[in-house]
Amino acid sequence: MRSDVRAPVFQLFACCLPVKGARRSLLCDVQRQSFQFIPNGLYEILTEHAGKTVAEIKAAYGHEYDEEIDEYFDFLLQNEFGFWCDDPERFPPIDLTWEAPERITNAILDVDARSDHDYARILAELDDLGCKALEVRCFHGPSPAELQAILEAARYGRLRSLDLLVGFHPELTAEALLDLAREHQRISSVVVCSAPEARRLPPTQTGVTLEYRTEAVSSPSCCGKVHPGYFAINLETFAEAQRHNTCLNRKISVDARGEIRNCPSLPRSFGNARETSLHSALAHRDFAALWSINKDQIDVCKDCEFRYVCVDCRAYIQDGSDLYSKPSKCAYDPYTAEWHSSAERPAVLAGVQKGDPV
Amino acid sequence: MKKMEKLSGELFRPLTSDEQKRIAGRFGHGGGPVTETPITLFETYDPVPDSTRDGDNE
Repeated sequence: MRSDVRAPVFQLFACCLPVKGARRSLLCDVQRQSFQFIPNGLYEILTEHAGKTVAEIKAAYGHEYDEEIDEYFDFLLQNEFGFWCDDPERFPPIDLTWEAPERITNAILDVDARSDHDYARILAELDDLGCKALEVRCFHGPSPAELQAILEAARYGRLRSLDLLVGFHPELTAEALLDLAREHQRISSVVVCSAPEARRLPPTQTGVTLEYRTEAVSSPSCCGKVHPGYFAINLETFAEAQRHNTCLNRKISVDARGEIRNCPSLPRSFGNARETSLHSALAHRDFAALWSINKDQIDVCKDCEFRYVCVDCRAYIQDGSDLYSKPSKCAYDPYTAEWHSSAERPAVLAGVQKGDPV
Repeated sequence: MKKMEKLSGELFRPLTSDEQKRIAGRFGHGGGPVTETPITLFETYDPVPDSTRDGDNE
């Protein structure tokens, strides 16, 4: 029998990824799409002391925290974050390289009562760019026929997901909207705003969700909120967040007036979709400038444990003159691990000086 | 602050489903709209996953 047999070491499952924050850390399970808060001490054990036996870890802390260390490993095991093994080298970390073959992966199309979009052209260009997810936001209450015209333009494209956000219209009954969703199976969700009463229908057999909300969403300024409800705990977002902006990367938008922007809330236009193709806008040397602003570069966010599961906003930021400042609609303070009232802070539009019309 | 905190502390309590619900709020100096943010793009995940079911025991 060998005399140099080592005690087993704890190995995290490759899909369980620890993220250190200023006050506490997060252990993200990107496979189960969930997370648990953990102390920074446990983060340190999982990273700096990875591959060590429990006895070695306890010794490294001078046996001051033996009880806590035992509790940590019980917690990890009970929550199925990992397992004991003798050969951790056989379990390499997951590759967090993010790549996408599409030039554009997602887009926003804003519509209001005065919009004069050439839907067929815009949708064809998006299709050509490989766009697979589109959100159409109709700030007015479109009739079913108006919605049908937009959806018709997307009928033969290669979109995989189409989210509709529309203002209330009396003819937009649940029945009418579900009929639309049955006819246009790329529709993933429909949200009707300014509705007389709030209600959420159970998802259809194909997973389409339909929700009526009483809140008004009347302009792009309604976007940009950072909240746990919007966290995306999945490998794609986690990997993309390592080097890219989780909102703007590979995104293109056409606002209600037809202006092509990174996001409808950002002030800079790269031309109007009536005269400029989305391809031309995308080819502009500045168009992709914001795509690579990742959370590790953003003030405050870089110390936040949620930074790889959070969808960023570069339009509404605390300091309009600093593109690396924290989203102003984020109420989380990673230094105290507390959520504050978001109403306390004004939303500043990036690149817009005080007094400029928005 | 103690370096190795107990997991039973309030800081490490899992978020409840209520805490993960999308909230309505007002932004800006008084005049901002009251709204829920529209569903963001490429949202193919479940915002409140049922982590008690992992498929292994079904």
